[in-house]
Amino acid sequence: MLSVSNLSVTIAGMTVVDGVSFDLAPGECLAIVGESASGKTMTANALLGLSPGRVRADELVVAGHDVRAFSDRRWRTLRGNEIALVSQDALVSLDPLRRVGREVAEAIEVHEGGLSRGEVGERVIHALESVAMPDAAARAQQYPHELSGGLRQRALIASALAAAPQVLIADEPTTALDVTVQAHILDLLAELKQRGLGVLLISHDLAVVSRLADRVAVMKDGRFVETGPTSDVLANPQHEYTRALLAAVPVPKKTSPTRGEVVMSATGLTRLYGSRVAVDDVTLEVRHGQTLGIVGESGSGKSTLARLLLGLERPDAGAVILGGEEWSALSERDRRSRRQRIQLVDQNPFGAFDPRWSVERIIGEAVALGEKSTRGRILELLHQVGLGEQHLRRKPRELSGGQRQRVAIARALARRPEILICDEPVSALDLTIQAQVLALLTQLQQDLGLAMVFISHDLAVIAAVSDEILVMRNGVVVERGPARRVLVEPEHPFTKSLVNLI
Amino acid sequence: MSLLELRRIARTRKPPAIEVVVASTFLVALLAAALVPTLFTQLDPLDAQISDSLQGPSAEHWFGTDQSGRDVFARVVYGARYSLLVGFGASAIALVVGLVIGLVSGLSPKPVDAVIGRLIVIGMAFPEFLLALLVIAIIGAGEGSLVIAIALAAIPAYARVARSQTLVVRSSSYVRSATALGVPRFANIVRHVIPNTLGPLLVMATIGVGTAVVTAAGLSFLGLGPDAPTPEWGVILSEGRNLLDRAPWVAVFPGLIVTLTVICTSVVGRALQGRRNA
Amino acid sequence: MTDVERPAVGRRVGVRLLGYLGGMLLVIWGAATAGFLALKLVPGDPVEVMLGVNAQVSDETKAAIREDWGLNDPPLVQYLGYLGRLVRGDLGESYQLRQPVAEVIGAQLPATLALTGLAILLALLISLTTAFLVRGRWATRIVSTIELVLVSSPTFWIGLVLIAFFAFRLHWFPVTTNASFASLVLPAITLALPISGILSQVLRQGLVDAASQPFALTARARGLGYPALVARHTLRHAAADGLTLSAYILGTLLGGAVLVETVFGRAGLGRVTLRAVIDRDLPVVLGIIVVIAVAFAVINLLVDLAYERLDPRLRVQGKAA
Repeated sequence: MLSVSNLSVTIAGMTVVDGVSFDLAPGECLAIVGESASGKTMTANALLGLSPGRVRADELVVAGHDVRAFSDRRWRTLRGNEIALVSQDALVSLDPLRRVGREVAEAIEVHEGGLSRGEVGERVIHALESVAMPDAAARAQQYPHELSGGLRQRALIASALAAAPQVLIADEPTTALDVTVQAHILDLLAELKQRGLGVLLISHDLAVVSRLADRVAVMKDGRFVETGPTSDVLANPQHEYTRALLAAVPVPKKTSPTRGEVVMSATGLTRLYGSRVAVDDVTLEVRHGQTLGIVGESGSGKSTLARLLLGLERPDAGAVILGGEEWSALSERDRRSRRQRIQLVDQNPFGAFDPRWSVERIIGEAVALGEKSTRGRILELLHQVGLGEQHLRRKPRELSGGQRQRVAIARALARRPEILICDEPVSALDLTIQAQVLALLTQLQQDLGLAMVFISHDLAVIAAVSDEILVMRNGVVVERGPARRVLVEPEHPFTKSLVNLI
Repeated sequence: MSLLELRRIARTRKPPAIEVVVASTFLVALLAAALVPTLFTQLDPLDAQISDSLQGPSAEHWFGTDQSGRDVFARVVYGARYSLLVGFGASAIALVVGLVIGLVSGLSPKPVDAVIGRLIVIGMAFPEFLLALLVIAIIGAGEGSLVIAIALAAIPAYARVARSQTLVVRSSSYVRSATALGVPRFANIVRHVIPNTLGPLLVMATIGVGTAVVTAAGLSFLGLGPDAPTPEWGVILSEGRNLLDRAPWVAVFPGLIVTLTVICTSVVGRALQGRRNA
Repeated sequence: MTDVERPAVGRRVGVRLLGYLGGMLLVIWGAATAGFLALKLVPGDPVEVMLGVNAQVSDETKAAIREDWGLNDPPLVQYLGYLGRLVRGDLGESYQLRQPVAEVIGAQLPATLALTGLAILLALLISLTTAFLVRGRWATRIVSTIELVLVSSPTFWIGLVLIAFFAFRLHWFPVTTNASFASLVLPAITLALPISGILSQVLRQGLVDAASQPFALTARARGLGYPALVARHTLRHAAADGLTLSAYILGTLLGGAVLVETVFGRAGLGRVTLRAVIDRDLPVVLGIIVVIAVAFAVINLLVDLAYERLDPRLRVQGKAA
């Protein structure tokens, strides 16, 4: 169905795909794994004739057609009909101004023009039912934003398969979804594969790949560095980049049995927004030299909890005690003098910095709040996070994602805090960079005796850094305990489902 | 790296485009004409030679002559002074007043800000030209009135930008982070707002000078500005209206200069904005 | 939908409509009050202002006029009386013309409506055509330049140029105004050109922006060609962008009408306004302000409704699970 030999794509003089070869047979899933800028999406675009650059290949066969010299008009007969695309995030991949049913019907209308409206409608319902969409007739009348994330993604898949293509390109199909929903979508794709669909899976997530793919190709800088059956490649990586990728997958932390003293505690914290309960009666303790990991999906209340602990918001009930003293009940003015003790590393360092300030100024501002700001102190902080003098003058947009996050950490450390709150600090980073930042945080904790509160939706990441774990769902703590126990013997069903996915 | 990032990297640090250079040159020339008219013409704009009246463009009279025999090009050159005075004056006043109103509103407690915000929205609902017209109905016609009327009409636009920038900064991640760090809130916001706001406002003002010039010309054309025989561009154009059949050049050329002024301020303004976003 | 939901939806629509109407009235009231206050701020005695410095009118006559118009009453009484008359549709009487303002405005309204109506139609026609047809770097550059010139040119200058060329040189259109359709063409084109300049720019940009969104990629991956992509997807998104211009367009139309009617010597609200401004005929000015406010409020309402039709995310509905 798909035969590719020596495919190259060049854009603006840069070669983004360099001599890539692979085949795909019906009922099979080939995964292309790589980090950002590896060229995986460019490869997919070339298979659809939608590449913005120049495409050359010794062989490029899609569904039995040699497409190398295809005009756009001929490509249009293939797209949707023989080969289809499912992208990340149905919220933006489906037209938000059109009903779901119309989107699903589109491929049918384009390729099978003679059908009546009634016939098209039937085909739409059939397509939705084949992706296990509950209440298909009603859903077809709704708009994408009215469906939940998982249902939306099913609708997107249905719209891609409506005209019965042989090959489906799935480009990060589950990345925008909550973890539990991801599993269902992957099961759906596996079932479709069983029915004879050929799936080209593009992903950065090794867990997703291991669940779905029969064969895997590891891509870096436009080239395949390693290919083979999934179980082989993941168990016995040959190429050093593959090894680095696998090594970057977070492994649970080695926790020590001793527990430090309590530096911050919260009891019965509750926060409401109107009638919506964001945080419901949460109690926790943070200890010196140890990390409390808080894991939950979007909307579980973890970010609100972070803001409450930082004193950026006031709880409607309950209290936070910092170092034995009142914290949440203080006025802002009183709090400000004590802010030094607890600092924040945010998910979005780009938004956390004034884009017009240099790194030196960003860190200097933080230092100056507590002591005289000297170049020496700023450099000391930069070195602590693995950066150097050459970064002083740079602006945030001139730094990579990992470097920005390091600056954020340096800024947080500037005031010599006792407690560090990290709110999704590595979610936006590539796997290898993520591993580096997590290693840095663990090292800093050891060196400085920091107490950390680490918040994430990714249980694997939480497992890599936490001594104790708190699991949140809909504002409530559903499970808590030492990291080892929670990961090995989870009690709550929600925790169990999260653990199953690692 | 996405395709977008690739393109953006390729585009930074380029020299200004040719059209920006040309536009800036024209504006500089205009400024020179306003300050030192004799650089461009030796003729007197008020010098009426009936014998020379209604002559078409020639080597001696680049833009031709009007019904009183005055050289149209000289009148346009001397008119630059009035038009640029009104343009800069009105824009400067509107910028400063708008910035203050927007800042104050954005920093105020919510109910106050809501009220001022509503007022700004209502102010922006009326078209600038009409607003200026109505202001003149109140304060009377004349040259000074033009500046005041146009400034008042332009204030809501500046105030809206200043206010929205203030609100954005006030609720931004970096102010939140700074608050977590322990930086005092109010001073912090102002320190971040003013540099971030002045940028867009100055871009608006650059384009605003052009808009003000056109509005002033329109109001003078209707007879609400300075009186004849002042060589103000709008006045010349209204005289030209009666000569369309006999001497169309009296209307065509001055209007062309007005158009060019607006185009050049637009081009320069947008280039400035492009630089800021890059 | 179940029967239980249906009356709820109906009530919700009714409440929203009431909210819109209330908003409209608020804007109109705000404008009327602002105008009233502004006019009260005019320095000097309105009667003297209106009659002019050299008027040979006795003091008793002036006093009588003042009494007639209730100018001796305390401001609050004047204001309330003004509002009361406003509600009944009575806009007062013109100082100069000794006619009810409502009549003065009403007589000239149709002519101006015809002019602005034709202008907006032309503008839409031109903008949609260029937005559709213009693609590719060179075509876009040329058209962008033309648009820039159109938007930057003073409206009245365009009119003058058009008259000089098409009326005097080519004799295609009549020079002086009469009631024929032909005399409407040049003024309407003059008014339409600056608007089409910016409208086509926004529409074109809107189409380009929408085409770079992920859903456009999905649509093309289904086999859609460019015309189908526009018709089915991007046009709707671009239309939403275009709607944001509606307030600007209305403002340009109204302001431009004053200039265009003067340039072409047409009778209409524009000329009425100008005369009133020059003569300081304050009741007429106030009446015009109210009319403009009504126009804006109505257009805003229509635009808000159009937005909701276009973008389902803006509709207040019950969300499905």
